[in-house]
Amino acid sequence: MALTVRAFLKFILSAFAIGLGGMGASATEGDRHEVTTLSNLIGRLRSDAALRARFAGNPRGTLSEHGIDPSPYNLPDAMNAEQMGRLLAQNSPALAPNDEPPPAPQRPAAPAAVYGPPPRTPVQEPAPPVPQEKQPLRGIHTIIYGPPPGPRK
Amino acid sequence: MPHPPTYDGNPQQLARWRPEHDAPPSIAVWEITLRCDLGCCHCGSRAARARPDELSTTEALDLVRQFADLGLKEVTLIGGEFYMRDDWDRIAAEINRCGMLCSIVTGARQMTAERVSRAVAAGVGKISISIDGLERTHDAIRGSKGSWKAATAAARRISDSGIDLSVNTQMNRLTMPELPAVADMLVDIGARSWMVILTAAMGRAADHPSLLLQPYHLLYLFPLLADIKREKLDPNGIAFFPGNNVGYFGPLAETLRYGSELGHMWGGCGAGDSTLGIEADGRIKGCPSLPTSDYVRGNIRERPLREIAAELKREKTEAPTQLWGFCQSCRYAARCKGGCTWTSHVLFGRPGNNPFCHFRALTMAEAGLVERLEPVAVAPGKPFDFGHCRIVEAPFGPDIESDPLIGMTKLSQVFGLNAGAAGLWSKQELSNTLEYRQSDKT
Repeated sequence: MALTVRAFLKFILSAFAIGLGGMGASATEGDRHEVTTLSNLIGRLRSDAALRARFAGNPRGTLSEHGIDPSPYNLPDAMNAEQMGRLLAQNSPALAPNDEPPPAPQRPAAPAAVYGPPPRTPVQEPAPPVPQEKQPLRGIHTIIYGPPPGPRK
Repeated sequence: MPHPPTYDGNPQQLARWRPEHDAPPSIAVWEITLRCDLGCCHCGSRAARARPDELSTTEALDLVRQFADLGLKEVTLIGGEFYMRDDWDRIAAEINRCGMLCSIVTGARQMTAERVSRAVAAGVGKISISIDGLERTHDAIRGSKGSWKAATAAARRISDSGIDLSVNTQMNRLTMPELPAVADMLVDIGARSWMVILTAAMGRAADHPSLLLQPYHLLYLFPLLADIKREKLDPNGIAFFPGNNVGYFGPLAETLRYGSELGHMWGGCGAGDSTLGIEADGRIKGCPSLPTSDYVRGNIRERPLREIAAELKREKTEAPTQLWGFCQSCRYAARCKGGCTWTSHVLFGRPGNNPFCHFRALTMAEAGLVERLEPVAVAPGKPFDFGHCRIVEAPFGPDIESDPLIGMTKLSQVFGLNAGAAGLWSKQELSNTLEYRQSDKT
């Protein structure tokens, strides 16, 4: 009998632990999904007129449909054109809505001292591995530069 | 003899306090102790314990008189946490007695009613409380659960006491989308001014590179700040003070930098020229944020303040910062002088090239480019230390606008956040962003 009770308690505790673990994993996954889709949703709104109309008519509902918790935001029941315009405005003059993708980047013709060599000052600490999220954008040519050699002030 | 204080209670007046070239500095920012009751993830001085040889009360009071003799108009007490030093109100009272404005910057974890009363009795004129976002975010950044509630309660106490209440906010990846909510709170708690500053890669912030903004985030941050100023601050008479690393000369500079109605525009780093920074053991530098190793020019235990201040002033004139990189060829180079010395020095080990510039980010974007910072060397783990970064140029493509931070910022910019919202970031996201990198341990 004692064994049975102990086994039962163990089962309850295991089930509880599994439940907690599952909740944790679910929350983590949900969070990642939420923040990713918020930026992506705004991107989709720029090109999808039907989605834009649905969002304007029911912003809370549309966010929820996309797995985004609307509760922290002070959203109206329906959006006006000015609000929609502000939300979809792109902050880069190089990326106006509906533009073609930007052309391949071009360096200034005469880089001069602006793009000096990496520092000659010996770096005392070993360079850590570049974190995954800091990796340069995939498939994109990057230009790297640092301060020019010279005495530290 | 000290100049009589000209502060009339209008925070905008402070913008007039920038001295002429031959004038002494107008403000000293004084770390009176490095001891602190918070463990902020962005703290440049890695404040925790007191320095082993902090100034005695007698030395501190003597330094106050030297400030007055030099002609300073304002002395700001900071830490660590100022009240962790028992004689803070004696120092504050002496500043007041000498005819200077005493202001205080505090995390306010334990800014009790009794301490507010002592501040009133000492004649403190202005207290700035640090509030970094909504409750969940603030508590995570400050490393202390309950610190947001404590800070906001203290803010109300200060506002009720008659001391001018200001709020200062770090702008980083976690706080940026929550800035509209902080602005709403300013109205609620009765703040008269708001200072915002970019979290720079110094001290503990250098240990948390994912907390820092990237230069291209300024493309989204500056319009957000302009909207907040126009919609929330100006109508409520709250003065907006962009920190010295918030600039420069972009299309919104005139709007943001004191509204330009006082003729004030960024005129280069004022370290040693208009400001002095004092470390708790008496070391003097031109700005409190500057790295100790490169910028301390003396200790008041060894030389009079006047002598050290003169040296700092002379250095500013005779050895101006050498510009390099983008800043060297910028059209505003002669006036801007590379922006904030501190911000660029802690990235590259020397000043003169500052990627945290709205004009620069816009110029790059017009060419279809963005700049990203990548850490290449870690900070050694001492107060006011820094690592080393490099700049990587990349195309301004869809990858940039899909950054989760940008979507959250845009939504909160347009609609604001609900009163009572605890934060936009989940506990897991906060934990991921503030994760301490083991490789940074020394």
